[in-house]
Amino acid sequence: MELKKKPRSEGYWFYFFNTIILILFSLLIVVPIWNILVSSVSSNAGLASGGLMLWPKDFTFQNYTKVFSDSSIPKAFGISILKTVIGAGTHTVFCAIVAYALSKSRLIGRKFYTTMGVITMYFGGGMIPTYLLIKSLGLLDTFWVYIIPALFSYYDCVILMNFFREIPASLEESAKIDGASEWKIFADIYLPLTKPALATIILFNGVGQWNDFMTTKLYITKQYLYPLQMKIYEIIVQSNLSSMTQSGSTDVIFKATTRGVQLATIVITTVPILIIYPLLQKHFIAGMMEGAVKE
Amino acid sequence: MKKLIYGLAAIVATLGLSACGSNKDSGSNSDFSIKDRYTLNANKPAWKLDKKKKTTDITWYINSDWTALPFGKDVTTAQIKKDLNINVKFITGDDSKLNAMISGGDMPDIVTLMDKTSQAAEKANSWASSLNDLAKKYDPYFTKVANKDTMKWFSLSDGKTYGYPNYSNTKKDYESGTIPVNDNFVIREDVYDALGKPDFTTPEGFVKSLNAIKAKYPDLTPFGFTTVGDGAGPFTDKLQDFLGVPLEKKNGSFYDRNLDPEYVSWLKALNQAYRDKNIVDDSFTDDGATYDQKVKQGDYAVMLVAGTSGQGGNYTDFMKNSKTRYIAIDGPSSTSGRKATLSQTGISGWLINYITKDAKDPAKVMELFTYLIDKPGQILTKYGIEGVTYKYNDAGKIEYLPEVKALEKSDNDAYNKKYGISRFNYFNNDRMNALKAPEESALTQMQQWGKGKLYPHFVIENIKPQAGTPAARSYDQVQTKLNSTVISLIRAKDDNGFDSTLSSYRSFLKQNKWSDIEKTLTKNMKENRSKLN
Amino acid sequence: MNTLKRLYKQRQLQLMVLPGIIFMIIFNYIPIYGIITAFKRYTIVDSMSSAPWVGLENFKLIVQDSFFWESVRNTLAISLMKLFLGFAIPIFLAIMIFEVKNMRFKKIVQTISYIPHFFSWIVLGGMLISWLSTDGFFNQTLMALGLMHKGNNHLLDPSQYWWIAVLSDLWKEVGWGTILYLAGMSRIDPTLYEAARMDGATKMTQITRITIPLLAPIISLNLILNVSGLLGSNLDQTLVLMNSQNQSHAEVINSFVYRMGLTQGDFSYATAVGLGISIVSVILLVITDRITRKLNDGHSIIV
Repeated sequence: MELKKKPRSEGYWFYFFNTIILILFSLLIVVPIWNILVSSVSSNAGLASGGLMLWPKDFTFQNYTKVFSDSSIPKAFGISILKTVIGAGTHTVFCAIVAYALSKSRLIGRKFYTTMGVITMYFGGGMIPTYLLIKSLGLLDTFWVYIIPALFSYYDCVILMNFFREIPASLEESAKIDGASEWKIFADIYLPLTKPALATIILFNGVGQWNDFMTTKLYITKQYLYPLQMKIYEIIVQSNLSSMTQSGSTDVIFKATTRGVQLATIVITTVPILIIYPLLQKHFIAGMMEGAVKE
Repeated sequence: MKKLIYGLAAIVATLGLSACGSNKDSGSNSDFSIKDRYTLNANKPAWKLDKKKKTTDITWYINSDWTALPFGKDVTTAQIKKDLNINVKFITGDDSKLNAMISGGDMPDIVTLMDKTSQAAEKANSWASSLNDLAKKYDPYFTKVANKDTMKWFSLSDGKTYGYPNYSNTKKDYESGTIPVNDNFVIREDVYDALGKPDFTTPEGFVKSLNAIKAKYPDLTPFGFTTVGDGAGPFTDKLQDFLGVPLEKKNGSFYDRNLDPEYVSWLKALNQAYRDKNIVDDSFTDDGATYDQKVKQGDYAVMLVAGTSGQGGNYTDFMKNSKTRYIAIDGPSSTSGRKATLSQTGISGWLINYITKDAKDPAKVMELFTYLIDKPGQILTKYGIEGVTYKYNDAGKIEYLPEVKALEKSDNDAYNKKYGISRFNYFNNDRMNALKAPEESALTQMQQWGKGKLYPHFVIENIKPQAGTPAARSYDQVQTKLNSTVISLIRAKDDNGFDSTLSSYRSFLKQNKWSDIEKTLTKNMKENRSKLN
Repeated sequence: MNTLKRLYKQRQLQLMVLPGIIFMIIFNYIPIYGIITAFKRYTIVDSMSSAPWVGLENFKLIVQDSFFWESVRNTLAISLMKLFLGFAIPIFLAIMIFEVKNMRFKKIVQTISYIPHFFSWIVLGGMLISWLSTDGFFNQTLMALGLMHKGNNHLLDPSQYWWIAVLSDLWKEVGWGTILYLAGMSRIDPTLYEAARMDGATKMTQITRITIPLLAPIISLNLILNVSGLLGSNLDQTLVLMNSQNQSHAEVINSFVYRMGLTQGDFSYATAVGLGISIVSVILLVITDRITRKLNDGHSIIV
């Protein structure tokens, strides 16, 4: 009897402390975020003190209307979604195919390929040769500059390789006896079994695409190809510009972007991710459930 | 082995590729001619003569993160578009983007740089066409309207001028009084009156008056200043200007203003104010947005302000929020009777515009330059169009129309988008200010205070050693050290701390062979002088 | 002959790697010739072929620069602190989240923990400055909790900067860092825990004996990447939080190179530093890879 009771109470205390610590941790994250959220719907007067503000001062949406007053924002939103969805999708499929082959120790030249991959993680030619390359490929000022150069990364490939390696070889062998091709094994056995890993790569890459504005800055001059983050970047740097004009002349007064507007942009770019994220989160949990059902 | 071969092949292939790229940009428009468009006329701007029917597309690169308004949508640029039959597309970026375009052989038509001492500006003759040549070839009228002093100042070692700036203020402009001061020592008027106009002009008075403010207004921070960032804010050259620290030694060689004894004694006074808790630490870390808000609320009783014009919005807001306002008064001054030598944008101007060698229609771009530099273009880009944005009043001065003013106040974004007044300012300058009917604003009193206190700093403009040289590296390190030293001096805990910080700065100068750098600076000042006369 | 036969037999597999190899050749290996700028004096008006060769001159300049060595010290200090905290804490956090039974609570904690990752440093830095100011959020909280009597401005104190950089980065990224571990744990067979419970294993034993060993490949992967990234640093964060007072502890390699590039217009310098960092990183990579092989049945995680 005693033996049985002990683990249960130990488990109880474990869950108790676990919950407490996680609640404290969540508070540590949430309170500053709440402060940002509240500040973004406050009039600017409340923001200067930097003090503990847990409720909006003079509730107002003026910061948000200011951001959305730019009529090209909805369009930019569209570009962002398009490049995130297409980019993350193609990237994940592309990497998965390569990672599948690289995860097989029987692959001839494997060592050479992977060494090549590792080198790309640490050595690059820098911005100028890359620009010239993108230019000679005719990708400047096209939507595809968001997708094609981002198709592959060896880092993501390594993650997938490690997940693929965990799949029992027996599954593959029995499929082979049934005459399945590599492509079929990859698509029918490996992909369904590594959903959490694929969801992770989609998340990593999708967030990368969503947040990226450097590609736009470097390779895009056409306004209609601007994603949301580029617009946001423009709004934010305007506040730095006004300080630059101090060295200029007296009649050059740009309206500075206020702190409130900056914070509104943070919220605006984060919300879509918070909406999309649970869709992916399902797959993490689905993975756990599936495993549970199968065994 | 395989790896090596691959690598070599790649390198060879791309070297070939880049070599091709660089070959392209020499002499790209040798077959360009204006023969069937117009004949040159020294007395008439070429844009009035040009019979070119097709709209010219002009790409305009600005070497900064900049949001230009779309061209041709507002009243101002629509007029330019109509007059010249052009379309302008703006691109922005930084040095590496500019270099990528230079080495990729796809230069835009116009390049606007922010810094006259940058390598791009100093080697402009390798990628830009000289304005002297272009004027001769396409638009001799340009020579009539371009400012001669500015042209001379911007000439490179080959004697030709490649870039033309905005806001280039010549000696004549300084003397004419049309350019207002841009640095001020300001105080809240209610505080000033309540304390019976205290004195801030001597170190002792400064320290005493701040204490008096704290005693009477415990809720206010007695002394504030525009943001410091990782520099020294208004506490180096701006403060030195108020104290009238000489720009050069009597013999014309470099004078280290940062070690001027009077300046150092003022830093001591600031340090005393800090130790009296009349300067707070947060003022050193606040960023622009926070500082703006503090000014709008009037948190600071007294402020040393670098860039008065940038504060116009804040002062106006404060005036609206309170029954009082900030006014300029005499602040830190020389104890030995030196006159203040405040500075403003100098002859080097602010933005510098170049026409690249790759310009597809250099004649058209030159016409645009002339158009914008000429007086009608200046008035257009600064004030808009007569009857649409402004009218001439009885005294013959420009006055904005009431609906324009109303829109500016009610919806600044819409105002910018509709009229574009003073937004297309790449060639603007303060000379045109004289045309405008005087208007009362939050800045008027401050600018009034500064009348007669400006003094040209041309001789020490852009004298730092040429970028990329060892001297330039040392110079930059000294600047970095100077910034941290000045702020550390103000924040020193006691006299010992103050003295040891100062002496470690002196020894840092020695370590970095400052005396050698000074020789370079003196040499550069000599060059400046030759361009000024 | 034999190899060719084998190659033909696995032609499908080879066909699958091929796109990746072609991609790397085009997008990674063709531009790599840019490295030669490290041995040239390459300024804004130059092209690859026109810039003059200077040999090791750029490297000499770097090594002689006392500010550079200060930035190396700061980078190493901040990175090592980040390595100890930023590497271990996400593992603990992931395990704790994994152990939560209530699905809704689990989802909420997870989602909350990711949010800060999406905040750009440009804006977050501005907030952080005001939070860390004398009367800021941070001091007010500490004072409310009775941990402090009088606030001071934390960003002006160079001795606190390393902690500020490390902890603020940790706050921003800790939740994000759990993702890979959670994905890894989702494939652990639940029957293993069941069996362990039957044997009377405590929760802690289950974690140390089942969860952590099965996470070993991912843990090693992160360790390898963290160690080889020791010389890297967060440029955006540094640029917003640095001021003239904390610079001696805030300047990192990246920000130093950035400022040199900006003020000197000298691209070669940055490339030279970058090349140096890459070489050191690869050496660190190889060393950690060797060490972590032991954790993973002797095979490498990364190649």
